[in-house]
Amino acid sequence: MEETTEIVSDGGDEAAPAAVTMDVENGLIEEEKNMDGEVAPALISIHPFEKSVVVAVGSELRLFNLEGNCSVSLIDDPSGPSHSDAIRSINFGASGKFLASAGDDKLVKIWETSSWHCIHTVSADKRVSAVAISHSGRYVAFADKFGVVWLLGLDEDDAKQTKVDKKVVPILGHYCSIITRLEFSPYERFIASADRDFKIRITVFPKLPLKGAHEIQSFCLGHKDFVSCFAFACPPGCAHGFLFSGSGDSTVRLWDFISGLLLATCEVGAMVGSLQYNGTEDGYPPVTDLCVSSDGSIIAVAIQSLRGIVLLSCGFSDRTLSVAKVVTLEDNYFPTSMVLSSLTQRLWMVMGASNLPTLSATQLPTRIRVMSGFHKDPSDYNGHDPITLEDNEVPGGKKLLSELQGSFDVAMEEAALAAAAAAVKASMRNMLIKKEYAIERREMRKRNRNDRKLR
Amino acid sequence: MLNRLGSAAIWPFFIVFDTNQTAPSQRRSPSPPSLVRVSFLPVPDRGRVARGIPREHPGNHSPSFALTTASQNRPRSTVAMSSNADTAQAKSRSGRLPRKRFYRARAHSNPLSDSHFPIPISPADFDCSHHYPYFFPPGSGGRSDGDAPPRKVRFADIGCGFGGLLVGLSPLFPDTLMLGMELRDKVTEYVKERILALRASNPGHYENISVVRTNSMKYLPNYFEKGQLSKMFFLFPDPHFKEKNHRRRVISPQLLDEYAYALEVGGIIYTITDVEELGDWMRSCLEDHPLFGAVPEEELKLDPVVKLLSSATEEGQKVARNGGQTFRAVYRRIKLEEE
Repeated sequence: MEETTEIVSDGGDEAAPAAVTMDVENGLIEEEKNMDGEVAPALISIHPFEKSVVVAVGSELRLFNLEGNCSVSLIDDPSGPSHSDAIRSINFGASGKFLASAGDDKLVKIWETSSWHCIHTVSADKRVSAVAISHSGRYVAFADKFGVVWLLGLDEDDAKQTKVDKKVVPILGHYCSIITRLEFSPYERFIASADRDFKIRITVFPKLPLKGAHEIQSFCLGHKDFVSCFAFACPPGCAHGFLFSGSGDSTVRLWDFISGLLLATCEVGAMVGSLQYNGTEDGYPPVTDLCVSSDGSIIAVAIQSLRGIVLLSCGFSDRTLSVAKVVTLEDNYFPTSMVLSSLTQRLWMVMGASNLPTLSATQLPTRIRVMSGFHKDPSDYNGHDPITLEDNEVPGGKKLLSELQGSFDVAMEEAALAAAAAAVKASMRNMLIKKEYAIERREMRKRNRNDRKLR
Repeated sequence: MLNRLGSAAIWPFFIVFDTNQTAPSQRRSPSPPSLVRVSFLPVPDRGRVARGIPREHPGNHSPSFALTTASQNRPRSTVAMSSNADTAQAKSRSGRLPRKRFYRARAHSNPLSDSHFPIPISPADFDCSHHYPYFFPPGSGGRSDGDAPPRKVRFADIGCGFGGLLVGLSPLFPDTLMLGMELRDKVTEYVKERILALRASNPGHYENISVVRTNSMKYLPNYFEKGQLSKMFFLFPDPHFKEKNHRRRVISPQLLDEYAYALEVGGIIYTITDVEELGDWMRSCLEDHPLFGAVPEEELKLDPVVKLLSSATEEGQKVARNGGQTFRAVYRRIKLEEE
């Protein structure tokens, strides 16, 4: 009893946020005991040469070989543990030699994409929130929820066998902030990391990165909430390229990442706001995912609670970014993750979540949609929309869908999937949005504070 | 400066606040018993244990260890302040210096917590004219002298504490803008009042210093552009002895990347502490960092700022008073050499 009073009394204005931090550390939310735990969105990724598609849902990796038109089973590392908790990030590097997967179980697994063997498992200290493979395929970088980016070296020996340098080294850090995305810039010159403290850090990726990446090129500052996603684009005739980022403040921004200069802002949420959302929103909903083709001609944005996607058009020369088209999909379809295949310019979308309390089936369902028919000139969307492919038109067809979705016919599960989208939304908000306490609550906490000024 | 736990030098200092503040509060407003106890023993438990003050019988606060220490200390702290700022003179004019006893300072503030104070979205968003009105007269549009680029903050005192260093530095570099950054809001408030009082009592002086409440470990890039700063100060930071808490230290290999970003090439980072373990830590972090190189001892002897490190700040004076040792590490931001 006495202890309790003590804690409350010490919880003045300055001590009060301590509780919140603890929550961040545990990934839990204070006072939101009614929440149904953490839910991770289903993720999708595609091989850079479209050899395969992978979907991660929960702790499960589902793989389909597009080249051979068959499903593939992964061969796990016999010496290491398997994924046991939600996968938070999957990434093929630009070379496509490896696939990296990582998540809440603090494991980072590196899969060799020709044999689909797991060649290495890293046991991280903290939950892993993002993973990236360098363009050369020589390094795997992963970021944890404490804001540290670690690097693992992969080396090929004479017999073309990939040798893994067993040691992971921390190369940079965001000060105790959850890193939401990690990506290498074109030509591997920089490594970019985004966090929930509204910033994107562009760090020079050195020649000997295992000694640490200390030189910061720039910070892209301008977002007013967590940065959820970003992507590089390099239009022809441009030396370095540009960076697009999406955020919880419902905007997509265009950056010159060399200088950190904000070039353009598109208030996607407000622009799309005229279309009705499901339920009432406080403020505009966050941008959840962003796909940009390498030349920047296709910019697809997923927004929470929007059934469909938004296509943006960007004028790189006159620095404009505007909504070109809102493509709506059928009711109850809210993509949780997307990927754009660079060869065929198809946009793959997935909807799903890692745990569904209402779910009856043993396998977690996901729903995959594929969109194609994008125009080179984004201002030319009038009249012709990109086409959402019917299930039998999807590359790989029924076989692919039944493999990646869990079952071919997931129409029955649609309600569950919609619930999944809602759960993902709540979970994302809990994890990334900074908690603001209501005035009454703060007053209550301050009631016992003892650092009041006496005058 | 950041305050810290566990060093003997610090405790008498806090006791000054405890006793000075609780006694009048009890006299003026009879509060319910539970509150009385709380307000009488406001510091965290470990502090109380360290000082040997019993938890029980809070109402029975006849002159004890704490009170005597306070009475011994009070005059000294006043002297310490007046040596910097000519207190007597200041009081006779309009600008009255704030009194520390009215600013209950906590020893710590959690640097890991999510913050509720406003933060500039980017350095361009930081309003210099609000902080340094003398250098940014209204109507000049942020340009102080003709077409020259607007003046920018060049010195940053990270964890400025009660602002002793800023006040000491201000007359040495009258044309250089300096910003103190402090996480504890009461302390920031005190420094703000102190600077305003100094400005009022010394017209034309102390116009180049200001203070913000912020978490510099998280938000430094929101205040300073790349290469904007020429000097950064980390004086008597919180030692955070436990290994588990090393990530809370203000000097760490990862945070040094950010300091190197904010400092111009050739800019200098000054660190000092009275905790040997922390001194070793800060030195080795700086030594191992490829973007920092040690400043030679001869150069330090000529640098007028170095003398202020141990003498200007309240914390430094306390250490000197107790005959403590200080450990200094001064490094220069260098260009990276690619092997």
